[in-house]
Amino acid sequence: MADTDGWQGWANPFAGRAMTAGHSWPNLFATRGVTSTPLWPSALPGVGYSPRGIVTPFGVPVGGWDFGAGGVSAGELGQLPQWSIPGHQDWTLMYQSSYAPDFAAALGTVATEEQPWFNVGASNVTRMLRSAPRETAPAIEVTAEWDGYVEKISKDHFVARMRGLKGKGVEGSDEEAEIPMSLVDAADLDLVVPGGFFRLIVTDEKPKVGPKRSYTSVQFRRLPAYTKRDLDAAEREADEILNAFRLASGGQATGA
Amino acid sequence: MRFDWRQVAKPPAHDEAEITVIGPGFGECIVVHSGDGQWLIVDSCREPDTKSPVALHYLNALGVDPVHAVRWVVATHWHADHVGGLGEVFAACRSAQFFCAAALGEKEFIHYLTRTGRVTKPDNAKDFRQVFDELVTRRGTPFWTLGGRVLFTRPPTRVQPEFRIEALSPSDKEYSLFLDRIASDVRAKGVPYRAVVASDPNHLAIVLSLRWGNDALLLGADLLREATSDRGWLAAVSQGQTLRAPPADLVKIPHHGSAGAHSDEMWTNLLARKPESVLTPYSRGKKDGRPPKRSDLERISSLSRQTILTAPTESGRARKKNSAIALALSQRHIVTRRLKARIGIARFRRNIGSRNWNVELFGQAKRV
Repeated sequence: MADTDGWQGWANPFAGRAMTAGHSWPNLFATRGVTSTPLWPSALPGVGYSPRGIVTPFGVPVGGWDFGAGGVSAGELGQLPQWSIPGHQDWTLMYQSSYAPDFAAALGTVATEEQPWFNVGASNVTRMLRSAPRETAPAIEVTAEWDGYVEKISKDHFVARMRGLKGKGVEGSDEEAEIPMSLVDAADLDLVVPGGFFRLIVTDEKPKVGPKRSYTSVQFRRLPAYTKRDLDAAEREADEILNAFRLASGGQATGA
Repeated sequence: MRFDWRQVAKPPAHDEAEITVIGPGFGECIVVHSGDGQWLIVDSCREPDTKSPVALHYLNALGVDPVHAVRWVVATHWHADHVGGLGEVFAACRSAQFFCAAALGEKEFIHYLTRTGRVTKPDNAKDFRQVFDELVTRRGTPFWTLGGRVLFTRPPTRVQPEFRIEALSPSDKEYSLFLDRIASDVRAKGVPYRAVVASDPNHLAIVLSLRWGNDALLLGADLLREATSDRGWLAAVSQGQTLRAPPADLVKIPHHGSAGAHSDEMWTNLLARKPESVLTPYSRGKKDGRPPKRSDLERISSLSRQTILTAPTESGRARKKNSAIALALSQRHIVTRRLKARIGIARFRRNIGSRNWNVELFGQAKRV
């Protein structure tokens, strides 16, 4: 399935209306080539129901745009021109049926151990989302969000620099944090390296009945990798600087 | 409360030497008046409120025009707490020569800068790149620095002695160690983008000896003690002896006063007995790990005539968050600390040729 179909399929049903929760989209994955990126961390129930970010894989630039871990809200979605994503990238939207029985039922598919994944076509996604039981949905709010990167790693935690993006006493703050490794999804452990980017998100869930619950999640961003083109361009820039320094110093080598 | 720069507004006299150490708790910048209206800036950090480089704030407060007055800008090493805003500083100091460790002019490091150019945080790589781009525009080149080099000499006049800037470090050995470390931070095809985190030890730190005739001061940068004589303070002391650096009666204590930077050889061979000591704290990281500790301050004070700390050693508490947010973080055992700090300034002045320093403290700076 080409990305254009899949992503436009997501965009249209949400435009201009509130997203509903209580439905089974916490374990949708976006894939690009062989790399899959969780749309929601499966180990953190509740976070997946946030009204932000549902349509955007965390930190993955889409069509050249990086929406970041927070993604975009439903209201923003209908207005974003980026959603006319060019079809030159091979994007596929997938879901894991064991975590998404509603999708499985709607699409008439059954998961097996051999085939736990299913491609979701645009029209099917649209149909599923339109059938979401909105009246059962708890209200979801991201109450605080930070953008950060890893500075140091120790056995049981990592030290990070964070910039507050949202929340009372958080927005605009420059902070250092110690975050337990146990909060990192097992699938993301390879991303916990010095310089690795992540988002820290606190989400409140207010069900119609029962007390409010807060969820805290650490979502590492799977960023693009350096390409040959990147490296070639960097080498050209470096050579230009080195040559300029050589010329300025009368042709002598730089350095010592 | 914002720092009011007007309180530092009185400029030095023409024949007055000045060393002003600015340390807001994270970051360090030293501004030096060598006499005759010529200024040196060593390292850079940003003002917490405006995010502009403190050196430019300071010179502006004095009424000094950096375009013509600043003759030298030195980056002692490329760690984030020493180069915040350095690109802006150098761009403003249009007549200045730029000094950095010779290893930073090697192809390996410049390639590293251009490869990481797509990832813009933290500041250290970006700031160095800005300086290099500015130099290319000016058709200039850095003055590549190694221990044992005389960076500048101003001949004596009828009323003033010779002024010299000398580098006591880094050593040749540290040069090659740095390049090895840069090579280990691989940014190759298929490796995901990530932020630049300068995790190398302070191998390349440039220790400076500034001397007016037989009067000298020592700026210790972040140089650490190493076990072998070809590295760290042992190598720097050796270079100081080769250059016949006079004993300094004022020292910017190396590496925020940490025990790992203490060198008996430095105190014995490069400093006068009981010098004036000034240090900038490093108020990041776990409380028991950030320098200076109480024992560090006691050690330095016992060796000094007086010891001045430019800012409190504690990092600030995180800003008061919404209680629900704070609870959610604490339930997950996430500890956060505020990085915003307040300016502290220690200013030393004396007439060139006289013995005693006149010390002024501003903002958070205090005597230990």
